[in-house]
Amino acid sequence: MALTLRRWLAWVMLFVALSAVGLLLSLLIGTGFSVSESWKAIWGVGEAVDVVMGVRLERVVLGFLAGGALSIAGLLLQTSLRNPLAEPYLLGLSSGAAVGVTVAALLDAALLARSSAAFCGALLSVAALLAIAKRLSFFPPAVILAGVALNAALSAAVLLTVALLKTPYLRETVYFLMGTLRRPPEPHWLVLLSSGGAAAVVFSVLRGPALNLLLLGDATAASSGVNPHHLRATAIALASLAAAFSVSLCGLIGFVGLVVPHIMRLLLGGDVRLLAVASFAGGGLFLCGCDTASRALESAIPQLAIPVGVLTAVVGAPTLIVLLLRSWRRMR
Amino acid sequence: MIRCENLFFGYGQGDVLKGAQLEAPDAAVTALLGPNASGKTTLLRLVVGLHRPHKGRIWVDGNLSSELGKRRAEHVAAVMGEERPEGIEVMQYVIWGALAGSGVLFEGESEIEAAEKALEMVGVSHLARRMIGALSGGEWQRVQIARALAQGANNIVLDEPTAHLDIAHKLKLLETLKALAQNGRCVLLVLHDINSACRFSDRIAVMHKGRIVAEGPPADVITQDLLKTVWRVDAEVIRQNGSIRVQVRSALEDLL
Repeated sequence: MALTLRRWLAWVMLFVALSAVGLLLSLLIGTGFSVSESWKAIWGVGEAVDVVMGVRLERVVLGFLAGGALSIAGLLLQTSLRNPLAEPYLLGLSSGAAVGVTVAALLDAALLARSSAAFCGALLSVAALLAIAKRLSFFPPAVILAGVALNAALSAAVLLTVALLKTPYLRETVYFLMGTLRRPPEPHWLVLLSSGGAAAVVFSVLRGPALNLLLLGDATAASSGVNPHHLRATAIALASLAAAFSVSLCGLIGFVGLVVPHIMRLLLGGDVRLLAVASFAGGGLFLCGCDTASRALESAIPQLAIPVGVLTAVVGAPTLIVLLLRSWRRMR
Repeated sequence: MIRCENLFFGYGQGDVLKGAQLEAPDAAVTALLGPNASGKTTLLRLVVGLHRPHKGRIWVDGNLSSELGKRRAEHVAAVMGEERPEGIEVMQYVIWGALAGSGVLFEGESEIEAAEKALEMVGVSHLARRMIGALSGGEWQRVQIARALAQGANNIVLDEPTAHLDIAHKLKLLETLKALAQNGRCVLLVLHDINSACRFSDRIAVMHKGRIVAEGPPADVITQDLLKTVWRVDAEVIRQNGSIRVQVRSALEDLL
């Protein structure tokens, strides 16, 4: 079906509305206060105002932006590298961030510097990947393999530094490696995170026709006046930046970048112009939803504090498998 | 019209193209023939702008290829053995071609019309609502050509479009390409089947070891000596009522 500007805007409005409803629901559910108390707090009434409009709002916004950034990063990498398994973590970005955090902890750096260390680690690993990819002429399968090799080397470095860590930093570092939204970020980090995600979405929409052609092959893209190497390098760089901000703040939340673009593709088709907006909103809602479920479980059973990174995998994997089976039956 | 002058190009050590010269005029099907690894696909990749020649020049509709930039979509459309995109309807896929030609972000009436017309021209309008993944090999090849046509370029470049097609689909596809050339387009395609090339093309260019070693109308180009020298086969060239046909007896022993 044709994607006219009017139809695209209608989809964008739908995603904005769904996101608003999702964020509102996430604000209403949590430990300590009932849904009705939380509802009143949103309107500035009652004892829950400080918690709901303070810590909980920060956490919900962080979850939405981080999930959206991871998801749009996954979409850009899967599209530009023409590989359904491509995602920020597969290419070594998360391991780079983890090396940054564990080395900072090993050097007794203040925990406040965790985000900066993670960001530097992620950027260094991406810079290494882009340098290798450039020498490989950005040939997609070679870039993926280089990323996998980089990831393996950096993961080994993480294990080594964790083994050498002293007790006070161990728990905090392990939480980071599992992925968490518990630690509210400073406001400027939220601005950076939203800018990174927004830049990736805007790029994906504005360069959507070119990215669609890149999906077909480099020769087809080139014949249409698209420089496939430049487009791929820009896509990888922007995806990495968006994911690096997310990983720096929330640790290693796996599966969002891989599974959400696939779910959106199965539901809405493969046009990048639409998928960009859908993946961002879907990724944000997915992570927010998982975090809300995690909070709801903790509220019901206080001993059951499941890290959000675990829930994203538990919910995401079966959802993707069910959708794959349904679309496979339809294809045949 | 596509003209290649003295092209040199290689991927690493040594050149794949060693002074290749080619002319593919408008209103004609030009078939590029040659044995494996002679440089045919590499030449097409240079023509579509994927690589730049180390030496030599390519002219497209009178423009220097290296200076076309984003305007390339107005001149060259390619069907180069594409990957099938997931979750895309045929109509949407063909519209992508129209968008490449017009350079706009979202399709309007003109892009939708161009896509409908292109589907009609290759006789696959009935597939418009089908998913790309559900097409047969022959249907997919024709839909790719529709995508290239919707782009609106004068020159269409195809790399082995008949590969994996049965005889009926192959004939149908080559007839479609012939009709496009008769409507004024320049069609440049790589083929392996010499008899199909002789039957459907107006010109044949034979590539061997990175050079065009023979170029012209099929009846002038295809000879017993050429088949022996380039393809290393012992073959008979049968000429009948102005057309020619090649009957291969055996591969020469030194090929093995």
